[in-house]
Amino acid sequence: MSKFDNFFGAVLNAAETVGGKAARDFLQQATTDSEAFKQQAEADLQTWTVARANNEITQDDFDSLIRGQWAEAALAALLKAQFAGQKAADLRDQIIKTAISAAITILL
Amino acid sequence: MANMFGVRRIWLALGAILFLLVGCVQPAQFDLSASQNALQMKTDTLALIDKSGDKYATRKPDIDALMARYQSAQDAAAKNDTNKAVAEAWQIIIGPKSGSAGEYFETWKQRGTMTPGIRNLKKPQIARQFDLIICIETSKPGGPGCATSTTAAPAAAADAGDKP
Repeated sequence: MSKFDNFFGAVLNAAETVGGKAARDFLQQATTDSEAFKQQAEADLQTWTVARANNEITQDDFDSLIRGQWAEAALAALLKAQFAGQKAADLRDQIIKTAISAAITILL
Repeated sequence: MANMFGVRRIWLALGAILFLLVGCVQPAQFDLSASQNALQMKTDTLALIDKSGDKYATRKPDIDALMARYQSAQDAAAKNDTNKAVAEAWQIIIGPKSGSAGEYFETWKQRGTMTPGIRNLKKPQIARQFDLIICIETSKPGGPGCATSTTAAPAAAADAGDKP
């Protein structure tokens, strides 16, 4: 399993914990079901991991980049919710709560 | 005659209720100035990140002014119930621990300067986050649609279907 799978698996699990399976499915559709989003996120995680291993960035920097990835996922969910009505808006709220409260760690 | 006025009042009341219901479920209409503001704030944010190798103190006025503009955009969006997505999006940009511009500027304040390593990695990420906000604005009813360079935004828009 790749780092990307580990990361988004954790993200989706957190969304499910906070908002149930519907929130998980919604976030998955807004992010990992999109080939473009996946490719970008996979490439970024790879780049950040190498930069961290080479000490070009600190662990705090790396964590900030991960939180930024979270923010992108939440913003993609907001965009998707705009098209999908009130039910999606409720799920979006759950996802935002998840994004704000979650602490995701990735093993280098 | 009195009966006719009674019927008319009922129709007016029903019309008002329908208007309110439609208003509750429709997303906000496209706002050109909000969209242009978001685009300008993206440009200004990226320009400040480029300068974050400088001492924080020398750029503090610019950072404070930009943070105030984020907050103003968030406040304006929050006033309209149909614009909740935009208000929440700005909250993500502002948040001191949400991995976006607010956090970047807070870290700059704490460290004094930012290294090239983190500058070069955060800049494209924050650019994509702004692209998503701009996309949320431009994909509203009456807007030009989402046509940014970000990878996630068009994909999310395409997955969601055509513009309403």
